[in-house]
Amino acid sequence: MMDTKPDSLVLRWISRLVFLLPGRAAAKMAEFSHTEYGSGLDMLAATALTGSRARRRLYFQHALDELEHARLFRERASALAGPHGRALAILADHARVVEHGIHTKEPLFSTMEEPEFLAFVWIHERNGERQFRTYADILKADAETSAMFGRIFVDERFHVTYSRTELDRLGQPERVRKAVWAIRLRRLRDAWLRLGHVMGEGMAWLWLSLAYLLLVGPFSLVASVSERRGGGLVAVEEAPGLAARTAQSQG
Amino acid sequence: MTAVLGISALYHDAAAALVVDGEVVAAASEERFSRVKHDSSLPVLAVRACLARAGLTMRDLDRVVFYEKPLRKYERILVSHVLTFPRSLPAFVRSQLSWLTDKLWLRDRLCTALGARPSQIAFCEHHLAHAASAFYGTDLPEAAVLVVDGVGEWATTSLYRGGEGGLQRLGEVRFPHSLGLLYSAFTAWAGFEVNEGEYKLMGLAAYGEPTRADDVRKLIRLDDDGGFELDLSYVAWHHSSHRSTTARFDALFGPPRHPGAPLDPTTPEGKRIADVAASIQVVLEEALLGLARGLHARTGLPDLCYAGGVALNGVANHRLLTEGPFRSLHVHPAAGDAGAAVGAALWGWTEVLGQPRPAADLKPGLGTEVHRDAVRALLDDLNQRYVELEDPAPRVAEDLAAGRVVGWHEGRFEWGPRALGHRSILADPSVPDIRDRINAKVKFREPFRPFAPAARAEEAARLCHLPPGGEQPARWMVMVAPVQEGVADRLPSTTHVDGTARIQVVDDALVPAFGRVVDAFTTLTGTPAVLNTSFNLRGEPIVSTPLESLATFHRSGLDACYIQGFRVEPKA
Repeated sequence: MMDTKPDSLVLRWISRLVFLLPGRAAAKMAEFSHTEYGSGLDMLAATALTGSRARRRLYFQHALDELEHARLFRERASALAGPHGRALAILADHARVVEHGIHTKEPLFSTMEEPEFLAFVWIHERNGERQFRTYADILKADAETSAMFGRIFVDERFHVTYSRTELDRLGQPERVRKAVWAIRLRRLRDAWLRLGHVMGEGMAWLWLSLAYLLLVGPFSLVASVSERRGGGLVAVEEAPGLAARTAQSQG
Repeated sequence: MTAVLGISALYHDAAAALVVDGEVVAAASEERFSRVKHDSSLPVLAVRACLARAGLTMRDLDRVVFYEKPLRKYERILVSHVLTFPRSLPAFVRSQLSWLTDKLWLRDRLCTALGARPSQIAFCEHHLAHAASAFYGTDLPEAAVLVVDGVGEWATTSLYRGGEGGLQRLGEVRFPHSLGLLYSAFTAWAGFEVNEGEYKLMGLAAYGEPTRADDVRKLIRLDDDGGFELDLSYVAWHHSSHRSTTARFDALFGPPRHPGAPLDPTTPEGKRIADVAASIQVVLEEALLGLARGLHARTGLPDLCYAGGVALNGVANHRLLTEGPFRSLHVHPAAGDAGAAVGAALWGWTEVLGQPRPAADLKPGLGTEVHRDAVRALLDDLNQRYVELEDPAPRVAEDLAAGRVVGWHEGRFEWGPRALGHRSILADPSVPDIRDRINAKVKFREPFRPFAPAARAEEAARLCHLPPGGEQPARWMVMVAPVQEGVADRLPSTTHVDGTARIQVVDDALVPAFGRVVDAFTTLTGTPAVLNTSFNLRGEPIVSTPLESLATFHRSGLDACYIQGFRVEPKA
């Protein structure tokens, strides 16, 4: 059934336009692959760290689902990449698991109380469910991709349901409400930081490009006069123990 | 107690290694903990694990040795960009972004991220760290030492003499002339991921003929003394961060293969790529042989220690030993950047602290492990179907004999990129279609990639033409050898298309539990080897913990999984 909430309609139209761009669908799949993999790692960490046997099983199943989604997205990204190398470059950039997923070196579970963790999971999964439903609808002409989203969507629904059930079971209503709002604020803060990072990087590109043209250019003229980049074996005569004596030096 | 921590980080494979009283007590790549393939970030988790293993804290360490001299590397990057103005603009901006915000402040970062004191921190030249990993990891009193990789600070290839007085550098080839970067350029041209796909290029080479070797030789001039010089008009790594070859390169070898394109070496297009792969492989081997002869002539020493990413090329290693001047070859098992963490620690121990050389060979199991009781509790908590076995080897043998593919998790995980019997996927190599089954349903990887047989030394000698002096690389699975006559028919799943195999000689001193599995299988079936491949799925690091083994098991087509003596069944 089509979701007619205003934010879903906005998402639908933006997504429809974005997916029209060449290679964008594949790139999006590649990004999802990293995000799902990162989520899978966090759920594995939660499996190891939770004190509840019941939730350990739920988290483990959740982790298996997310890791499987990562594989499915990776395969679709590869299949859809065609001549556009961007998706493959994203797939090859494993560091994106940390940068673009929710996974960091410290497991998410250990950075918050379990109710907050469950609130985080619930909000993310609910958004993911809505997002994937939209994408499945937009890409319904591509039967394989649509079927993949359909399969993932079923898992996401399970994740939304169990995380909310466990959240309600674990916390007092007031605490649950606070946890959900804390996570919403955290998401806003993260979005703000990401925006700041992108803007900062843009500025840095500008200034560094100027520095390159103004400083490196003149140096290159001087350097070209004395340039020596020949190969071959260079004999090195070094006093014994020199490396050890200069061990404290970075240069 | 004296302790030195070695660290490699911020470029390819971050790792930490801990030497306590002359023994490497722990070493691990960061990717094994973060689960991010080729994780290059500061190895905070690996350091934590190494210290925990020894029961130490940062305050207990005498030195923390980083595996390169960052300012010297920065100098090389700046000079390269100056010399290639204005083509290097994007590469300049990209590199400055990471250097100015991060890498230039390394000492501070090591202090804040790891809790080290500035006075503890030392810096070891990159190739010296590699050389130390190769030489100090053996018990040879003296040896010639060769380091070949992409690039360190300036050096891309280095020759050393190792002996009583430490490691003495004899000569080097400098950036941008680099065998490692040249091989990686062909890797990228063939549509594989750089720093990941070099194995694939080597495996693909077996499907081709070196018909383009003369074209490859146009890119490189080999000197009589072992040195070499590249024709820089074909390559772009000294001024580009996203391309390693130029249009001239493509004009010579044809258009690069798109990474997503199917690769079937039996098609004309696949053959074109495979022929180029075979050609660069042959020329690489010629260059390495030249270096080995030059190094031998300089040192007169009979034994060669070898490290750097290029040392993971097992095909070249075999040729280096059989056609080269040295009587024995010793390759650091984690010859790439991760291994330099061990080298940095060993160098700090011997040369900075002036301690006597460590005598013992490295053991593979240098990672973490989980106690059997904790595994049982985990299996119970996760409602797994399992049986507990006092000695799992006979049951594994039965599974393999029945054509099953099993996961094998035992003890501490391995140091280096190879699974040597601590975190492995095992199968019967005599079953013809088992290779395709593992590639398609278990590891989800390219069908042309071969698997390795693992056998006892006496059987290994009957299976492969193992050259004298190659015992160490064969134990660590870093040498590819031709199989004996008739073996290709007996072990089709571990014999590559060109009649070679990357055999692992199973030694009780290194992997005793895995040795019992090989013995049990051989006794039961008469087949003298077990197929051994790493316990991971495509794009993921090898598993470390029992939980990761379980997660990988349930997402693959494995028939059973053995974890510390527990045989776990698939989900019903």
